[in-house]
Amino acid sequence: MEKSKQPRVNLTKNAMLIKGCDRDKSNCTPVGKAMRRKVIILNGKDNVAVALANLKAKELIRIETGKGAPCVLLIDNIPFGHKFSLTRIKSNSPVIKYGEIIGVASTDIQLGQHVHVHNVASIRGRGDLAKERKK
Amino acid sequence: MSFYGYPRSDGSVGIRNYVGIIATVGCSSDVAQDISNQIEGTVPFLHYQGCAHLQPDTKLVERTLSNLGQNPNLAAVLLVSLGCESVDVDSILNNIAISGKPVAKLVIQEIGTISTIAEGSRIARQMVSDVSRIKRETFDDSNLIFGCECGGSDATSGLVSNPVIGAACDRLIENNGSVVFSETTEFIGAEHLLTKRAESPEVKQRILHIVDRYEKLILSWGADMRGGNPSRGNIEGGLTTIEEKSLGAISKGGSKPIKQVYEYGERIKGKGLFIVDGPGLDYKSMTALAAAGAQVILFSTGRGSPIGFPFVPVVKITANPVAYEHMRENMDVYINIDEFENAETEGQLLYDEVVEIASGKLTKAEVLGITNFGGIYTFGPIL
Repeated sequence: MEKSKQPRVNLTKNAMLIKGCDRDKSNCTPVGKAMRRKVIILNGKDNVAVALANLKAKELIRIETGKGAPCVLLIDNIPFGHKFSLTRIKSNSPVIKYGEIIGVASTDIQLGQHVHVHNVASIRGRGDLAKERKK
Repeated sequence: MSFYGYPRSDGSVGIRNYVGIIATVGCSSDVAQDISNQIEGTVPFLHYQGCAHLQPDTKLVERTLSNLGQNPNLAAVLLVSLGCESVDVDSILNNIAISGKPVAKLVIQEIGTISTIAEGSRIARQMVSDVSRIKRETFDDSNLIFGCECGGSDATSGLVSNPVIGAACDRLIENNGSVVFSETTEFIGAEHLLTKRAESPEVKQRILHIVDRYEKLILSWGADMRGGNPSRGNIEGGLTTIEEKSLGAISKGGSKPIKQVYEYGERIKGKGLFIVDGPGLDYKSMTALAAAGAQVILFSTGRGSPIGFPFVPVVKITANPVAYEHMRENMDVYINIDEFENAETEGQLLYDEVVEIASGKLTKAEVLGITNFGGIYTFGPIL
């Protein structure tokens, strides 16, 4: 598919375009120009992407970073607005969105996994941790 | 760009022309409501504070009520006092009178509840008749102060709605107007980006100070703030941590230098972008924006919030298609995420809409009458 035909996304200055992929085509060719934008990565440093549609597990998502076109196979359903991992994120490693740290992985996170409260902890506002430290 | 507003004797410009019926303490809120119910053209400001605070909170409530009374959207003010509250009602009255607008007070303990409602209605009726003679005139948009708020946030708030509000705010500041934003809890994890825009080392320190002060208060409770903020609904909408929410929330303040940081209830001075300390809870945060002098509030909501404010129009902006579908009657501006190109273009459109609202177009919340409750945030224990 020609680049000029790809839908444009410019949510922020550093945003990159990601499109859905046709799972039946192993080379991850985008489905077609009529396809809605499905996913956004807000910053080149991010290790998570945000779903702009309700995405299903086993869906393949192609990421156009300009550095090749890797595909992410979604492990979980990803609801609209929710995040999935673009890499394997080890437990206690930073989770990055907007190019900034939004928390740390509370467990190992796999590529394509739903990234949310079940596997990410806040670093800030943690009175519970402060209380434990006092003990 | 110009708008039609109401001239005030202190040089400020109102975009609405209400008589405010302000309760000075929770105990007089019902009576203030009753007076307002009698008289068209009045709005009540109701809350539960004003008594049994530690002294810093008593001062906070005094300055909040004083500066709410000075907001240019109020043409005249009637204070409804109980009589024995902690706040100094005469000081509040004198502060409001400095702005040059008519102001009166009634004390329930002096004449009784029914007589206060009757006398308050007579005073309010006269005030409404008097201020109805004030005509809208043309003013330059540099006279506008935008307040920025987010409530019922989801992932779309940080992706789309808040950056669009930020772009509209940038435009107002380029036009020599002013912008104020708040929600200190939603600076947590993003304060390093705000301090980069601090106009002086003092402002940088003030930003860090208000965040640190709030976070220490949270930590002192020994609990994780998640669940409270981000709330259950924020989490369902895809927001995982307070850091993530903050990084999306601060974009509603735009990109201009931050001129000063104010305490809750203080009124901003000068032109440009300002921060006022306050909680993330929207209706208490909007009180700080109104006290700061904002005539209009730009409010992003991904989950969908219906709330307004007693005398400051609240413009609801959403980019969540489900929230828009379910709450069309509440949303003033919908941004279709599929067609969204950039914040600047949408920000221009939003700006034009807000100027229309400044000139008299009613917001959805105003038409629905969802404007009754404000509320004041206090830091300390209730004694």
